[in-house]
Amino acid sequence: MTETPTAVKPPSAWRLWENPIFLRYGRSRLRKRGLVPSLIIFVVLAAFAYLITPMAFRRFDEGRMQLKAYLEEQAAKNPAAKRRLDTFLEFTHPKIHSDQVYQRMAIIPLLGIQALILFLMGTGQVAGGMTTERDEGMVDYQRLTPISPIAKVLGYLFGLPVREWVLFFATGPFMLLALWRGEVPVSTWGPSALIFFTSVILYHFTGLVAGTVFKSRRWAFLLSMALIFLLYFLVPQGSRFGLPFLRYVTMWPVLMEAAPHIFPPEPVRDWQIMSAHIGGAGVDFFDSNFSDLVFTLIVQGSFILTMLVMVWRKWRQADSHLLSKGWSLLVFAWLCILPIGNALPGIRDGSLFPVHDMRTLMRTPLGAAFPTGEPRPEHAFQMCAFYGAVMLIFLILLVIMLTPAQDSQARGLRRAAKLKRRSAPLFADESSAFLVVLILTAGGAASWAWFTRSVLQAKWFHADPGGDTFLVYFGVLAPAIMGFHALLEARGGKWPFLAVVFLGAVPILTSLVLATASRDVPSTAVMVAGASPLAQAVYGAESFMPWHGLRASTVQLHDTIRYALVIWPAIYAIAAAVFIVALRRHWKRRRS
Amino acid sequence: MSAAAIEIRDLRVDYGNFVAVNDISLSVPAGEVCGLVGPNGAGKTSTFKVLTTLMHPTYGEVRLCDMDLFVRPEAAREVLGYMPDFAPVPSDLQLWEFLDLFAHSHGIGSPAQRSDRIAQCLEEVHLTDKRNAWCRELSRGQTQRLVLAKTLLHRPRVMVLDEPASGMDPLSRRDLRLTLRKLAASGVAIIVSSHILSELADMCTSLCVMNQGRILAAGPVDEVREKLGNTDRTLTITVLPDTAALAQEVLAQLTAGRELTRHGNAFSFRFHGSGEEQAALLSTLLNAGIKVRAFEEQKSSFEDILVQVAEANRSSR
Repeated sequence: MTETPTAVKPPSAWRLWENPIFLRYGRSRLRKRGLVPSLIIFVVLAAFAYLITPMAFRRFDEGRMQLKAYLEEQAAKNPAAKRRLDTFLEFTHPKIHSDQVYQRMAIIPLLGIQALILFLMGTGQVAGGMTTERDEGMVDYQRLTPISPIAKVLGYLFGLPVREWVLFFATGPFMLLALWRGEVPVSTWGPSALIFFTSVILYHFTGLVAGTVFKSRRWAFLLSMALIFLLYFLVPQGSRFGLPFLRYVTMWPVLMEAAPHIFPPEPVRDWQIMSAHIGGAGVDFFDSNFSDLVFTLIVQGSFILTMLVMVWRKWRQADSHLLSKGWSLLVFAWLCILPIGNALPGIRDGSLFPVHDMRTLMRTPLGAAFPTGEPRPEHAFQMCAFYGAVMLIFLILLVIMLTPAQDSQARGLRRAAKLKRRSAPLFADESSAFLVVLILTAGGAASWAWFTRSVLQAKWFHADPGGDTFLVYFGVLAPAIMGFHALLEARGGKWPFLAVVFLGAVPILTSLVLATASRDVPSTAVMVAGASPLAQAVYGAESFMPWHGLRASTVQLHDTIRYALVIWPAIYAIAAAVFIVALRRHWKRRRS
Repeated sequence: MSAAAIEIRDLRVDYGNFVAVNDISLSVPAGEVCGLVGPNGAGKTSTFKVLTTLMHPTYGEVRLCDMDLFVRPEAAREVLGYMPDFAPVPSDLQLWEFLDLFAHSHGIGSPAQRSDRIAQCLEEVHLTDKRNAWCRELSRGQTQRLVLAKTLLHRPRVMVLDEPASGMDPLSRRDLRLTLRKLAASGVAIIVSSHILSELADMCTSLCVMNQGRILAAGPVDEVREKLGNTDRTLTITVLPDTAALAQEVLAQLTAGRELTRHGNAFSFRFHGSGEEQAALLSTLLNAGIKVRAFEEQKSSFEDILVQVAEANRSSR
C-alpha cells in the first residue's frame, strides 16, 4: 500500500474491444446460463423461417396457378366467369418464380426476427440497463473514472445490448444463406445492411437517452418502446403532410429502393404504394438530389449526433442540460432547414401534396375508389397546419431541455455576483434561456412562414400571403412558448407541464364534446378549441389559405377562427407578460 | 508531506434558498486523515459531492494535488478515490469482475497486472477467499470492504470516504483504521466522514466540525475540542477505604457548588479547570493524607459535543 500512484492511461474511446464497460457487459450478459436459452430460441426460429418461407411461397404460388387454371377453364366454358378471372389476375399476378426468388423470400421473416432482436429487445435493454446502472449507483462510480465521456457512451451503447448483438449475429448465417442462394448481389443488400446498422444505433441512442433521463427502469423501458413505435410507425406518417424527411428516420426508404431488385415487382409495388414511397427516384434537397441511402444517412446521422451530444453532456456533468444553448440553436436550425429543403422541390412538382399519394394509389385497382384531382387549398392547409403544430412541439421540447432548474439558476446568479458580473455567461446552462427561447421561437415562426409562403406560391394557388405570415405565426407561437418558458423558469416543478397538457388538450377535447353535442354550435366549439396553442397553430395556417367559394356556414366558421386567432393569443400574451414580470422578480430573489 | 493535497477555498453550495455549504475553506495536507463531522444537514455530503466532481458548487475553488477541480475534472479523477455512503455494487458481477472493471477503467496495464493488483486489494480488505463470489452475496460490511478495495485499486493520492465503516463488524473497523493509517503514512490525503465519532477520533489526525454549512472548528483533534470551548471533563478519584470519609470531606470543600457523586470508594465530579489546577487538586488530596488509588479523567466525547451543536440548532429554529 505504500507504492507510488500508478501512471494512469485510460483506454481509447474507439477501441471497443478494450472498453472496460463493453467488456463488463460482455462478461455479465454473455454468461452461458442467460445466453444459451435465448440463442437456442432465436437460432431455431431463424432456421425455421429460413427453411419454411421459400417452400411456403412456392406452395402459395402453385395454389394460385391451380386456381388460375381452374378459373381459365371456367371462363372457357362460361364467358360470364371471365370477369372473375380478370379480377383475379389483376390483383394476384399468379406466376411461378425461379428458385432464387423463393430463397430471397426468406429475407423478409429473417429481417423481422433481426429487427425484433436489435430494434425492440436491444433498445429496451439499453434503456432499462442504463436506468439500473443509475439505480444501483454505478453511474456515479463510472463518472469518476478517468475514461473519456465518449468511451463511456460507446461502452454502454454497445455493451448493454451485447447479448442482442450476439443473437443477431447468430441469426446472420441464415440471412447470408438466403442472400447467397437467392443470388442477391452485395451492391443491392449492402446499403440496406448499412441502414439497418445506423437505425439500430439510432434506436439504441433513444434508449440511452431515455435511460439517462428517466429515473424508473419501467418508465425508461416503456418510453424507449414508445419512441421506437413513434419513430417507426407514427413519425413517418408526417411525410404524408408535407414533412417527407420524417420517413428517413426509418430504414423503409432504403429497403424500398432495394426491394425491386430482390423481390417480385408486383408485391413490391403494393408495398411502395402502401408506404407512399416509390424508391429509386432519390431525394431532392433544395437543388441537390441524394440517393435514399445518402439522405437516410444524413437524417439518421444528424439525430444520432444530437443524441450523442446529449448523453456525452450528461456523462461529463450529471446536472448538465441535455443540450447546451448553442447546440440547441444549431439543432433547431437544422430542424428548420431539413423540412424546408426537402419540401421545396416537392412543392414545385406537386409531389409533396397529400393528393399525390391518392394519385399514386389511383394507378392500382385499389386506388379506383379515390377521387383524383389537383392540389387544393385544403391540402395546403393540412400541410401548413401540420408544420406549425410540429414546430410548436419542437419548441416546447427545446424549452424543457434548455430552461435551467431553480437551484442551478440560483447558483449561476450567485456565482456571477461573487465574481462581480451581472449574470452568468449567456450560453451557460444556469443562465436564463429567455433570449435563446425567443430566438428559437422567431426562427420557428420564420421557417413556418417560409414553408407556408412556398406552398401558397405554388402554381396551383398563386397566392401571396405577404410579410404578415411571419408576424401572425410569431404572434401565435411567442405568447404560448414564452409564457411556458417563463412559468417553467420561475416556478419549476410539475405545474408548467400540467399547464401544457391541460391547455394543449382540454380545450380541444371540450370543443369536440360541444361540436358533437349540438349541430348549432360549431362556432362556439371553434372558439373554445382556440384556447389550445395547438389549435392556434392550426388557425394561424388556416387564416392564410386561399379559400374560394365558401358556403355561408363555412364563412362564419372562418370568421370565428379569425376572432379566436386574435383573442386567444392576446390572452396568452398578457399571461406571458405577467409570467415574465414574475420571472424577473425571481431572478432578483435568486441572486441574493 | 506539507503541501495541501486537498485545498478548498470559499466553497459555497446552494439549493434554492437553502445554503448547504457557506463559504468554507479547508486544507488537508498529504499524509493526513481528516474527519469531517457534523449533524445531519451540516453540509458534509454536499462538500463531498463537490470534492468528487459530482456536483458544481455555487462558487469556490477546489484543488486536488494542485489541480483545479473545475478546470481539469478528468485529471483530478485520476488521483481521486471515492467511497460513497451505501456503496453500491452490481448484482450481476463476481468480485474480481467488479474490481477488474474499475482497474481497467483506471488504465491499470495488462490483464496480468490488473489481476495482481486486484489480488493485493482483496488481500488488503481480507476478501481474497471471496474472489469468485457474486457481489450480490456479500453482507453489508463485506460490500463496504469490497468498495474500499475498488477505491484503493488505482492508488489514489486523495481519498474521500463517506461513512466507510458503516455495516462493518469491529474487526473490519479495526482493519479499516489500520489501512487508512498505512495509506496516510504513504502520503495519501484522506477525508472521511462517519457517524461513529469516537472511532473517527481514533482514525483521524485532524477533524473538521461542520454545522449549518459552516466550519465550526478544524485542526488536530484536541485543538478542535478546545476550539469548541468544551474543556469540561469528569474526574473520578478512587481512594482506599480507610481514607474514604476524609476524601468525602475534602472533595466536598474543593467542589463546592458542584455535584459530587460517590460510588463506594470512587468519587466523580465535573471539572473545567486547567491542567495546572487539576495537578494542584491531586496534590491537595495527597497532602491531606488521602490514599489515592486511581485518578481518572474522562473528556466529553465528540458525540456530546455534536449533540450540543445539534440541540443548539434545534433551539435556534
